[in-house]
Amino acid sequence: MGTNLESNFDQVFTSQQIYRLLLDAMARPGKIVTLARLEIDPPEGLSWSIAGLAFTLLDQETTFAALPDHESWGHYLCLNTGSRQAAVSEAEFIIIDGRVDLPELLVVNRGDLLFPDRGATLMVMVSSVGGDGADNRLTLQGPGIPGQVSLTLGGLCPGNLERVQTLNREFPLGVDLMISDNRGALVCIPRSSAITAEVNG
Amino acid sequence: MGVNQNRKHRGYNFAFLDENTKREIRRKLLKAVAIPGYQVPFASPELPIARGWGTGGLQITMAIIGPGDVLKVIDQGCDGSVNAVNIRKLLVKTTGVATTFDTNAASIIQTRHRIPEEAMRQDQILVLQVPIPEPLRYVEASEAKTREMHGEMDYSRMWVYLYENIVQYGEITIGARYPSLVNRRYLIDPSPIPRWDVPKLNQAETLYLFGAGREKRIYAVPPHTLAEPLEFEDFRFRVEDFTGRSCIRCGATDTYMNEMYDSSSGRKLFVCSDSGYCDRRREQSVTQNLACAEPTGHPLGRVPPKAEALVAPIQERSRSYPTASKEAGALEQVVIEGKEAR
Repeated sequence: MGTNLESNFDQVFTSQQIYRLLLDAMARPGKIVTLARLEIDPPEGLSWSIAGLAFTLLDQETTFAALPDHESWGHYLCLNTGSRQAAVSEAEFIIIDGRVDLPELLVVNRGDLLFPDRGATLMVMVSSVGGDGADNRLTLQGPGIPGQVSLTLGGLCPGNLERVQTLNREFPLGVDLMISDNRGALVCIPRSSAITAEVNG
Repeated sequence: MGVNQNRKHRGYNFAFLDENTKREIRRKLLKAVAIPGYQVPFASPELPIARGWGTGGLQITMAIIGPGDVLKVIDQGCDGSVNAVNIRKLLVKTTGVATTFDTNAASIIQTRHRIPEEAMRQDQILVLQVPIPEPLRYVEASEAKTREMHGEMDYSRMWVYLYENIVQYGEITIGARYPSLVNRRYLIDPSPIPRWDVPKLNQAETLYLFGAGREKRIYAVPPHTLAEPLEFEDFRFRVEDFTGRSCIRCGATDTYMNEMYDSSSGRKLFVCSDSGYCDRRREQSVTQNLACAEPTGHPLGRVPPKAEALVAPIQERSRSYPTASKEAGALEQVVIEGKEAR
């Protein structure tokens, strides 16, 4: 299961569709877009939506790291994208299970002032994006948002959110988040957004 | 509504570029959107159109376009001029997408040096072709230095340049390419759009993507983002003044206009730079005129094109332009280039 070469993913048209949703979501932080269900079979713990994002953006020119480190994820993504695994501090893409507390997040590359675009992209799996019953309520402010916007996320470990806030303290340095659940709901939080976590009441 | 719909060239990948190239552009575009106004370097490989002729914008369009998109390409506001026609033909040949001249009907608009007059929506994307992405090139020749200046947000030399302009000439002499600060952080060159268009970047509904093919840079102004032209408290930014002038084709007084010289009468004439908007206004006015009287009083002495002309083949359409349009194009070029002179 999940270690095979995916032949069902259309590199040309499916990745274009995913990309346009991704671009829309990145340009409008907090906006939830929904990816069309993909008929792929990723390994245990890796959601099809995050795998779809990886298929869309990763190739042999890029590096990635998985957190927590799953051998099967690495093998599956290497095989299907040609991307290479790298240390967490160097990888351009970090595939994350956001429900697990991950102290390693603090070493993620956030670029430098000459090349802030070298800051990593985080692809984060959570239990739910939007909807009720979520345990994280965030308020976002910044470019792409008229005024401010509220966002609810289910299952995101609060420690990870704090680490991202720490990483993004010094704009333009920072990391950009793509957050998705296993129903295909996707939301992006670029480093330009100021995140305020509301206390759960 | 499509010109050449479903005509695909079979010898190339969809949208000409191979998937690796598209993916690289896509990754860089996301970073450009995440860091508004920052110039992201990208590979910018060779294309069938020479660098400096819109390859930056073209590559962005190729990387984002899908079979369901409706494409509009404009050059200085005009759908029918040569750069727009070439780029549209290449994109249609390699993607088979539908095209339009109507700003409202388009999902992607690639443009050279204008932003359409009509307000764009959030489901649309404007792709701008950029000759010189670096606003600090006015004051610093070294790329390594300007990159450092952006990193440190050191724009003092640009301010001094503007100040010296005012002292010397009583006016900031930058016409098109007016330097603007995005998200209160990065200074951008908004491409050679006239000052008229610069305020449209601020707090817009639409995503603006900028591509410089020769200089290998991509940057973006996301929607609902501050984009402020540089100005002094006592010397405010102002746009071109068209007071007392109106378009000879549609009568508009509130658009950006090109100046033409009528050699037979010696008069200066003005015509809307945005041809799609001008045509729409002419249609509306003819509908109204037909309701009350014959449209014989039209300044050009002929009936404006019918609604179908909006999607007519390009060759047909360019004939329906006023005869002076060639001169207009040439004049416009001179005016714009003059403004750009450093």
